[in-house]
Amino acid sequence: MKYIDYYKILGIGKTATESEIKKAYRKLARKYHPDVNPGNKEAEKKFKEINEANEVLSNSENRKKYDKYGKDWKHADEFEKARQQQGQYQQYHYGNGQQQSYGSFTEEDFSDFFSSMFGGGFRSQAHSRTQFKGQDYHAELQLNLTDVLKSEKQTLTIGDKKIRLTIPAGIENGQEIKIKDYGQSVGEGGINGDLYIKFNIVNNTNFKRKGNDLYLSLDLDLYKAILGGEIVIPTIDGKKVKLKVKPETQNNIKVKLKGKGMPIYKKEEQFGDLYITYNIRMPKNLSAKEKALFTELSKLR
Amino acid sequence: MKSIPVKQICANYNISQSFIDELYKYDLIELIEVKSVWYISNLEIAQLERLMRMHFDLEINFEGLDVVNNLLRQIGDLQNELTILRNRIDFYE
Repeated sequence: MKYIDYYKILGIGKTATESEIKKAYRKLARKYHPDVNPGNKEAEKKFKEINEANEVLSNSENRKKYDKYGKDWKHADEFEKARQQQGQYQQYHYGNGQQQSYGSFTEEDFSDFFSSMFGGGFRSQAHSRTQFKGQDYHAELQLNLTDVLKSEKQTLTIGDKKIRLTIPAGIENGQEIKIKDYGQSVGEGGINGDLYIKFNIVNNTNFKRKGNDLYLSLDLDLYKAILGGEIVIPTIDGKKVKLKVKPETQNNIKVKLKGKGMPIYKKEEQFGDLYITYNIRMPKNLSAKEKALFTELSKLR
Repeated sequence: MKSIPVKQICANYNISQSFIDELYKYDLIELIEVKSVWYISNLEIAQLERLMRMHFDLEINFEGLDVVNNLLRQIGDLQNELTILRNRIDFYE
């Protein structure tokens, strides 16, 4: 368990007065509050740290205990002594209506150091105002690109709730969907929070994706490029498509295959396109006969 | 879409009606009037709670809330744009 320097977290000295602590905390809270740092996990972590520091330092009993035992918290005898005192301050803390901290926090929001010193049951009684809407939950779901070719039903477990969810085909990397009422529940009369799921789509294919369209580079041998012919190309859904190669096909030329791209989000049976780019491969290690034939060809031009 | 009378919301949160009026004046929340009773939509509650936290906990005044609100909207737009651009970069990598 690591010792946490709460003074350092708030950027104040060990002799800071109550008002200096309050001021330092408010300044940092304005900077790192989740409401002004949407989606910023680093800020959220910082905010939890400064809240914990404030919980300890803004309460004189907690601060006294921390100053006295904090550094040597590992020692058992002191641990015991402090434990015996614990009941007192919990009462003190709960009875103290002036205690100010922001947001509502659960035990998980506190460090091990804090929990072991001030007890696991310690919980900030933050808001005096009744909460009407439950907190929104944010979750991330990682899927492969090949998982989003068809709308699929998935069952997710968030907290103690099971959610049956249809993930629409063609969802984009980084896209977020909102599931109403599946956030924190606040009971009758209130409004449940919502659940936001952000999708991280990992491209597990050779195709490149740009919106609904897919791109694929394909090697083509020189003879087929010049004389034309037929090739078989893979599509994203694992099927194979025959494609005619026109005679005198140029290097790097793009060919469009309509409707062979990604499914379009929330538009059933509509698809983007697939673009094939040909890389013409030159023959290597020519035999004497081939060289002679190429020489002959070159003379014709 | 469900709505809740402003009076009820005020009682619930233990806030004054003038606070809600002020937010409305600054175009920070939307209210609906039906037969001289003011309501707030369920969809606005999250925004109201956010504004309350910023005002009461972070001590940001109404002008400040207006600025923060605009900047948060800009951050949202920029984050969306960033996602689109990141996906495009993946295409070229």
